[in-house]
Amino acid sequence: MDWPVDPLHIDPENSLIEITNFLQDHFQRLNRRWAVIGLSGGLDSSLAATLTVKSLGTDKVKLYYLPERDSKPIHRKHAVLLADKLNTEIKIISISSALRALRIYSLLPLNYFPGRWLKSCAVDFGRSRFLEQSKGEFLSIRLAGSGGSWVSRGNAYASAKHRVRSVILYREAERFQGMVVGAANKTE
Amino acid sequence: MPLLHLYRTQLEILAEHLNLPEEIRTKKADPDILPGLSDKGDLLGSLKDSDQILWGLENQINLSDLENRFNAEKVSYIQTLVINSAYYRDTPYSLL
Repeated sequence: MDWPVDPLHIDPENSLIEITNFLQDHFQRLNRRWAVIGLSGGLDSSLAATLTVKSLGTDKVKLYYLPERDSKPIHRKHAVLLADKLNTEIKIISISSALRALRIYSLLPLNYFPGRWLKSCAVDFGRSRFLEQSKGEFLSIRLAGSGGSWVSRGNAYASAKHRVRSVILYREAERFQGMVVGAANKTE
Repeated sequence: MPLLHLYRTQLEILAEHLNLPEEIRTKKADPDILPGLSDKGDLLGSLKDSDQILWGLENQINLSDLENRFNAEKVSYIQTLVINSAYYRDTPYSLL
């Protein structure tokens, strides 16, 4: 196959129709009353929420922002901003206590560093030590888990947060006959 | 998963079309899961390049073509990532 002029080109209007049809079909077929969406304040979940509100209407969508100890306040601001723009209810539930009970924060020794800034210095330091040994390919080491136990612990530390968020979103969905709408994209 | 068929760069096109708030569209792709890690794109070099390489691998573009267009090291890095991240993409494995 030859390389096209712009391989990632999409017609946004077509995409929009395709996605809204898909959401409406599923919502009906699964016989759900609500769509449940976790907002992170970032682009992917903001887009998922916007498309779902367009497809089902604002009165069928429940939005959640699920922060924890390490979450940056700017993203909370953006999650609330988006919910306001969509004129949709947003619930904020902290998952810090759940993560603490699951001993997730104990996986990395970040408790010794007070404040987000000192914690990020500690992570930077740890990361730079792995980068030295690995010609900059941090992400492949992280995914292969071949960087030794600290990298594996970092994986568990990070992915537990998404998983606990899913538990809460599915809890809410079960309570309200909801359909959880995810925001993962193909690059991920 | 209504966005799983689109690359991040394509989501950015859609977000602009739908007029999402600019501060959300223009900030870095921050995973916000670990202090000190604040840009997913940075881990990939550039999202635009890595999305195009992913597209090329998916659409059976000749490997040497891809390596000429980007660079061999980058293409092989993305290939490694695709292999090492399969674990996260697969549906639960079973004998069904």
